[in-house]
Amino acid sequence: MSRASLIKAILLVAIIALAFFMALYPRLDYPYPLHVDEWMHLGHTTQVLNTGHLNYPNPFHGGQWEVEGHPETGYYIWFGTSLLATGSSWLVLARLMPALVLGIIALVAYAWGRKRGFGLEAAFFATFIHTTIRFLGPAFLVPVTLGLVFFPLCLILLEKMEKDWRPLPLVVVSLASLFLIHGTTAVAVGFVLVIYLLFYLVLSKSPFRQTLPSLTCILLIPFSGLVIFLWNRAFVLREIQNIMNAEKIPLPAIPIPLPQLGYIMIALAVIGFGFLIARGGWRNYALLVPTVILLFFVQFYRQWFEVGPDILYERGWLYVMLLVAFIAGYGLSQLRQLGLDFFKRWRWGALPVYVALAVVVVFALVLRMDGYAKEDYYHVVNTPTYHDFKWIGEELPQDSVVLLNPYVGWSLVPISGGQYVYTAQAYPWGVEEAIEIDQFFRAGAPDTEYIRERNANVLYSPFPLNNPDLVEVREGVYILREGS
Amino acid sequence: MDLLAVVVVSLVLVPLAVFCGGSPASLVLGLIFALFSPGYSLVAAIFPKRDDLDIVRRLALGFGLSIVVVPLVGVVLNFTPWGISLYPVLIALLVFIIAASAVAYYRRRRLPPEGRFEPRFRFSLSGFRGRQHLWDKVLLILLVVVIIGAIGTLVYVARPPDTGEAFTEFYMLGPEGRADDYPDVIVLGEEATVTLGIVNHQQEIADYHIRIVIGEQDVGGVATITLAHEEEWEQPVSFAPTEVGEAQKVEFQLYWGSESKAYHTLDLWVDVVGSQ
Repeated sequence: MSRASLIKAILLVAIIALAFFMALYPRLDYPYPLHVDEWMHLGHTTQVLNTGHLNYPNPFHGGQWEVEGHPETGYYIWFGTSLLATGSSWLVLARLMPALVLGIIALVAYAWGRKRGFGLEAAFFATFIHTTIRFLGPAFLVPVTLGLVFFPLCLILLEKMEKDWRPLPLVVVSLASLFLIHGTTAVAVGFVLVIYLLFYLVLSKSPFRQTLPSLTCILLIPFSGLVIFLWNRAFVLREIQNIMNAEKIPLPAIPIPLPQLGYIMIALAVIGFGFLIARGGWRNYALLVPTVILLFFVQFYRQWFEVGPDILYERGWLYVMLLVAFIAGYGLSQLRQLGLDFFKRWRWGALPVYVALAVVVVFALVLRMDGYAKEDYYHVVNTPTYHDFKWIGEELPQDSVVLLNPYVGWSLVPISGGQYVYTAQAYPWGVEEAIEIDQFFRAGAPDTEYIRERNANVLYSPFPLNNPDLVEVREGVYILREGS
Repeated sequence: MDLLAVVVVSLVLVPLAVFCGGSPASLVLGLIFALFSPGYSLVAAIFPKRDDLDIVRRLALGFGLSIVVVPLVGVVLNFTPWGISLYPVLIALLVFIIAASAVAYYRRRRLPPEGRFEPRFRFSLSGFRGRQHLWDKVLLILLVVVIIGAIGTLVYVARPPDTGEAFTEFYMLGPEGRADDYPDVIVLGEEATVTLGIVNHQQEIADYHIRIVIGEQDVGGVATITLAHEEEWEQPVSFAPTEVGEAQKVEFQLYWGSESKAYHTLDLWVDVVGSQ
């Protein structure tokens, strides 16, 4: 290994270690999954493994209706396979996986960017992608986090496809798989790939024969979405209708997450934008244009037209942050190269450049951590609640239906290992029935018929209950007497 | 060598996952099996030539394409009689990895030796001790340190922290130690039995005692139970009501230390009937 390669290897491993830390930062002092979405996805994965199939009784509605063709089923298979292959508890893997996935994102970003001279920088800034309760992000074990890997992954394949047919089926199959993992990300990745391919086809001077794989890829990309259409046609048609819905929907404001990345990274991204424009070339435009369009879409389109489901804009910020990270990396690499060119005649010319780079990197990281530390993350469960749910799973029959406070509803299923939860829809969406259940508990759960109508046989209440048909078997845990 | 390593890891993982699931070895090998091996063997099969892809891109694509392959294998399994469970998933992925590795091996063998991709890892201590430049030795040591540091970082941040929350679990099961057959009708003069359990999470040794009360009257209890942190206690406990009556509330009161107020109370409603 050459000295330069050794140095790059050291820096890459250090960046991957940083990725581990960044992914786990919000839960350094908290052992459980943070976001309700994490719990929900863990619950569905638990059901897939319990039933062995991708159609299963919905664990979050008392098992009263079937989940058929869940649109994020690929994610449940991926995490479920990891659980089976390792034999580990979901609690261990739920902590490990965000770190490993962000490490993979950094590695794949490096592998893509290094050919253009900014691999380390791209990997470094990829670890900066912010995680918020609204947008989610790499600190949460959710499908969109896994989907972020596909951006640099598919870009590597497209580069290879400039002279080779072999990556073509890999690109199409990758997108198809991504549609089963997280459809919104698949649409975004497909969009970026199409723009990339269009710039390649129109602006590169490659002979027509060489461009055939790329041309074919553009035509096939839309067909990769067929897999989700065949998997759950009703869902796809409903989402298309929501997107095309021209009615103005008042949407709550979305705070821009870019300041949390730190102003040094933002400055480098602006510099990167400038260099991309100044240097020109189809590759630079292929990175610049989709970033600008996505940024425009999430920031302005929503404000001006107020249409479509909010999730498009919320998840869209994650994609923007990733692409901005790449551009910031490009900007830093260009500054590095300018510095090295300027000082190359000096004996120790490279030294001031690398010292300056180190200073920029350290301060960028400090500012990023400052933004990160200001983010608030809620805790769904505490340790006593975790033990309560574990006890329910160990002592009560597995087909029990638990009526419980909607806020903690999502977390019961993975912790207990598969009891059904009756919450209608869990908090915080505040569906009327969830509010009704909360009021029922506050009143002491006096009406046994109300419990029976919901097929529940277990209650988990934060308030003391006063109903002779209930046996309090543990603090907050009540079971309905048989025959009552 | 790389294909052999991928196949061997996969073959070793299968029995580990079946018989020693949850062990550190199955965790490490299982993650390699699920997150790397399928994608790497696929990349090797499709790109057998040395100058197809460098090692960095092969590793990156290995991780990335594993995320692609695993869900698709699972979807296929869903439509088989075996479904998605331990053996079908392990075997299906193992078959995929071996098949792709076999194709990769075959395609590489068809190429001239200098054209095929064959990663070589050479490290010799004699070379390290020899006339290698000092900076190179320092960098090599630094690389090893950073790798250990990265693994240490992962282990450190991934281990669940102790929240330090102090509490006590107190629960009631039926007489057979299951969450059923709770007494509901008791004949006056006879005893009823439940199983009570305590788990100490107070972060210190704790003394507990239990009172069983109907109205103001003690009808049973358990004297001092001393438990260390994380220690459990579970025993059948009997009580005998002293008055006939319907819907009598039996309170199982757990006291911690010298507190005069009950730390936890569990309620059981019973009907007490006269003896025949």
